[in-house]
Amino acid sequence: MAKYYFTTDKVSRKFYGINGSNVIIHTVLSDEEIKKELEKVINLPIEGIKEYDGNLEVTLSDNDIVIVSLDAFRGYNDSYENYFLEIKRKIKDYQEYKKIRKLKEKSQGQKVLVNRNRVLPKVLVGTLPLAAALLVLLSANKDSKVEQINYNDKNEDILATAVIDEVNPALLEKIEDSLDIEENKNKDAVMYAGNEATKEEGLNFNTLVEAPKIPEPVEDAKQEKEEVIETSVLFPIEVIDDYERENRIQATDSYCGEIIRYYAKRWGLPAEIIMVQISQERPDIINGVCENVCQLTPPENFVGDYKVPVYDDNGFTGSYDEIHLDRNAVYSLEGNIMAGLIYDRLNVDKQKSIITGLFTYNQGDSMLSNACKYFGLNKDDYLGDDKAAEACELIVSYNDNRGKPKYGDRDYISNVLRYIDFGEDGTYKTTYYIGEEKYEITIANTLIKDYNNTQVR
Amino acid sequence: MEYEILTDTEGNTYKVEVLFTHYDYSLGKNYIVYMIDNDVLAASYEEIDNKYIINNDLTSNEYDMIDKTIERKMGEING
Repeated sequence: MAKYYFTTDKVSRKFYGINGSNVIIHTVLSDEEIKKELEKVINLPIEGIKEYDGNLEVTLSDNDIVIVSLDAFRGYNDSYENYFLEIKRKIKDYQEYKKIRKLKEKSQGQKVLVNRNRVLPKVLVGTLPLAAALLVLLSANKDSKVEQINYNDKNEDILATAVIDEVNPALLEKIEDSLDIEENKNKDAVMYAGNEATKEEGLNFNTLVEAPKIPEPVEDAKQEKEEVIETSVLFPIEVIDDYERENRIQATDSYCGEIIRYYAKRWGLPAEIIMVQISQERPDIINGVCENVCQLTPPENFVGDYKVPVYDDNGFTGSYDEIHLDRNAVYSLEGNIMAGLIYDRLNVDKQKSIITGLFTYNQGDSMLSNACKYFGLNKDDYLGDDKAAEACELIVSYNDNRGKPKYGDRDYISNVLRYIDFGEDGTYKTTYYIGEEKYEITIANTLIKDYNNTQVR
Repeated sequence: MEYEILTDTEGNTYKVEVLFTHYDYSLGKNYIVYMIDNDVLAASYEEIDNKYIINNDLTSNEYDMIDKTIERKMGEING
């Protein structure tokens, strides 16, 4: 059993290992150790949470204990920000799960309905400011005890932290806004062009997308030839009627193609694949209007601050778009597409694959990790386009095993890629970026040509 | 038990146990489901001046939606 302490000195997060019992020794952790433990907190089931003195003590299923200062959940512009967002979401899910379970036990199988006629007793107390109310929501009231609940394997699906869920995260997000974070505000924010609604001073930036390494300057004046990593994947994709395919794509292109192409290119994603993805996702365009084209569920989940790497024809430029999406933005056409593509970018980076990244856009960005944990497999063996077919199959198996065969769209890849024109030889090739590396993927449709699992070239 | 204080549109405050919050896309509103004395109650809410202001006056459609949401969440809990 290991014990860790994640805290802050008000300026940045600090990470320690805790040794000893009578004499407590704090050992500073390396970056590798920090990320390893953060990954565990995200991926392992929680056995229990206790709250005391502004800290949460989280016990994991492997008996490791991680003590996290509530201050550590505030926005810090470091490389661990996305981990803490995930942990915060997971803790919120855990607390909700605990309450719903208690309610279910009390109901003893009876249906639980809202009492529509109750007259509420009023309480003569002052109202808490939002931040304090949310801190109480996140952690137990100091005068109360937090119960420890042990999980069995069947509860794992509650803890699987798909980013897209129906619980409004607005409550927890407001903790960062309401607490004093002046030292983290960047008043020289770079805003994406053309959207007045999102211009705002003093933004608190959360790094959602892992920053690629900035390439070293090349002394030789000649431009070096860009290296391309070639990958391939075989997929059975049910083609649809040409007329239906072209009609759907053309409608998407007319409605929002310019926006899709602009941001896909800018953020290193394959524009045509994003176009067909959104063609699959979006509702029908009725009277010239299509709401929530990227089918964000719900759009409020994507309100926040983002930092996205910028690419051009030569690859990663070394700069980032720093973006704030508020509620109006995620409901606007451009903001909705930006949010969808930011989530695409996150998933592609996380799964090291455009194909698996598309699938986890639908299933949830943690699903591959969850599936690997569930089956006792090494996630590194399922990263990359070459492993995309296996990775998608693994996620589907995970859902089948946990009793959720209809979770998301198990045929999502086929349903998206059916809008691609594979031609007579049944292959399609495109390029995209992960970090500073350029990938060229060949997708072979095995329903057009049987490749017998041979290398596609 | 964890308690929070909610404020309604008339400034009245209530000490409640919050079960969960939920955003309904089709109705376009935020909802909060909470308990007082073993009664499950619900309200819509807005964020005003950094506080949650609840509105207990829901339509039957809204109550139906929340009942279904509770049923779905309880159905997701196995064992």
